[in-house]
Amino acid sequence: MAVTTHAAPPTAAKPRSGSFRPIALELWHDKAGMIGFTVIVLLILMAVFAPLIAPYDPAIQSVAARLKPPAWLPKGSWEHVLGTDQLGRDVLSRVIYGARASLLVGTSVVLLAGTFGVLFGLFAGFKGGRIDDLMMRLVDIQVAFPGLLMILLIISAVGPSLSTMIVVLAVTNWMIYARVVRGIVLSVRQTPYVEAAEMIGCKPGRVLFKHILPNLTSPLLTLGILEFTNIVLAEAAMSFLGLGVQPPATSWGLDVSNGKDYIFVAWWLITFPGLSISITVLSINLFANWLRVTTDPQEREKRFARLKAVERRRNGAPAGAPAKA
Amino acid sequence: MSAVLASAPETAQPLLSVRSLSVRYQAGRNGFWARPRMINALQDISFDLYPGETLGLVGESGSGKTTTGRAVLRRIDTSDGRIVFNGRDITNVKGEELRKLRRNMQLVFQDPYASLNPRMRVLDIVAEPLIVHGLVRNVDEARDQVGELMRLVNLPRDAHDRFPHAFSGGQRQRIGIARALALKPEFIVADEPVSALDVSVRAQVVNLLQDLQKELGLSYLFIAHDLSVVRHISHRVAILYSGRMVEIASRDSLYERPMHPYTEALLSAVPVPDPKTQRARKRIVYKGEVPDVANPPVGCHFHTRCPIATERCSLQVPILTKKAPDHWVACWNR
Repeated sequence: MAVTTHAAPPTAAKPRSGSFRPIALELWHDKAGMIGFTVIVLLILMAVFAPLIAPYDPAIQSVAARLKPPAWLPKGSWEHVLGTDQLGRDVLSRVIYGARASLLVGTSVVLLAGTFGVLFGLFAGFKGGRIDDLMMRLVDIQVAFPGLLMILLIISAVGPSLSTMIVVLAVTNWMIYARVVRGIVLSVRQTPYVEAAEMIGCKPGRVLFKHILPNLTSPLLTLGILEFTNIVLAEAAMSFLGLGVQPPATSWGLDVSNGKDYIFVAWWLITFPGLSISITVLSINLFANWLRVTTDPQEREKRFARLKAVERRRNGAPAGAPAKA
Repeated sequence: MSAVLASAPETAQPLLSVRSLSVRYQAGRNGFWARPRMINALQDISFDLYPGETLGLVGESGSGKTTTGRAVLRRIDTSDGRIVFNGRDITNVKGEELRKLRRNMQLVFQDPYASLNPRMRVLDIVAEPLIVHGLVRNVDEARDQVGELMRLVNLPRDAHDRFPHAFSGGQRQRIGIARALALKPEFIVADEPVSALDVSVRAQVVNLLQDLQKELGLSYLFIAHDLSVVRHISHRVAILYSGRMVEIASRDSLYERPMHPYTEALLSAVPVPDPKTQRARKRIVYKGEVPDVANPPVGCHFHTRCPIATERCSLQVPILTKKAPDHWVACWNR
């Protein structure tokens, strides 16, 4: 057992013990992941409790107080901390309220499109042959069809609303998951451990969801985050065209689009909602990176070993087992 | 094909009996509607395997060793021939029946690094066969049985909660063996189980397989290209060349009196651990390459390289015939 005597962490040894504490402690030790997680929680709280936090109603207009700059600039006032927009609406309140639509649309579209696309790709890759050919041609057809046109068609038939927008964005954005997953399934399917699972008599469902899907975690997490940004921006484009979020409701994307015309006179109109999008994506990224390592037993043990090595160095003891790079 | 083949030492019923087994592979398609090209990976293979016996299967890369193992396990479809297991014809078994059959026949893989799911604990890996066949309801119920299996393959009990990457190649191979043994099969195909391992751990794993055979009465189809390992573990040995069986005999008969020119060449390549003897030996090397399986020569597949080939060899496929007690050879000139 000389192989890993120094890297058999108690936490990684019982990863599915179901207890919450060791996992929380692991997150606590990963500073970047912890920051990401905290920011995500704060953003969600902000969206949920928007009416309590926001200083103003985001839709109230005041022509007298148009295009006021943020408080710390000359002519700014602490009445509107982040300034006001071209209609005199409070930017801070709009950012707080905008989190609702943006987070909701971003996550639900990624989950909805992701689930469908992943299942589609899993099935196509697993079945292979003609079924795979046919299914992937379907994907090609949909990719070739202009997404915005499809959105226009559906919205004009059904009418704009938040739930319609989520469904429509999912319908036009699931293909990339199918393609990525199908490709990986094709290669994972050939690995001996998948053959082993079939040899011992696992049913196809179990092979797919217990042996193939868990080994897709890393690429899927990465893809999901990239897509989240895309969706937030797509939502902005739709809202800008009047097909998405309907005023007086607002979203970060919508504000960025609306503020575009004032970029030279009032930079704060696009900066703060834009910054919110970046911070959201960044914190999801940090958290997802932690999550990716945590779901990979080998990476997780390496991280544990590194942590132990750092602790030992800090305690002044000679670094016994060097952390694996 | 002649009906009777290498009779076993005992007169018991064979556990596995394979008759004129052929396997054709699809080798790609030129277009969506085009008919796929076919490759004959295996032609007319017949053998019997008796309870508690090890049949060594030897051949070079591409000779069809692995295909034979997979076909016998019904992992790939056969295009001709019959496979009878425990008196039951399993040639066309499918679906749920095939799944149930897995309880009696298992596979040990070549690559111990790739054959264990990196995201599952050893306990989950070894307990999975028990779970999918409904023998236990969950992993915790399987704990004792898995512990027993770990003891059988000489792994420490604390291995349970670790992941495969924490183990060495030999240890991983033993996890793979424990997984194969979980369902208490009668028959195990060992597909080059030691060729990916260090020489130092090879003996461990081979001896483990032998001990398990004695303890549990297993039958092995032992696929390998290492002739000394095969000699150590097998009761009988079969030699494959380019998808056909060229010789099958009891171990001693084959190693001491090889009859097929290909077998002679193979055996002459095995080094003898004695410098004097080794120097005195003559290495037989035949010119040429193994024929392309997609386009093999007519007649005996070996005739293009054979020193004793005659005209007949390039016209007619030689039939496996009994040349000595328990010794069958497919050659016109021996």
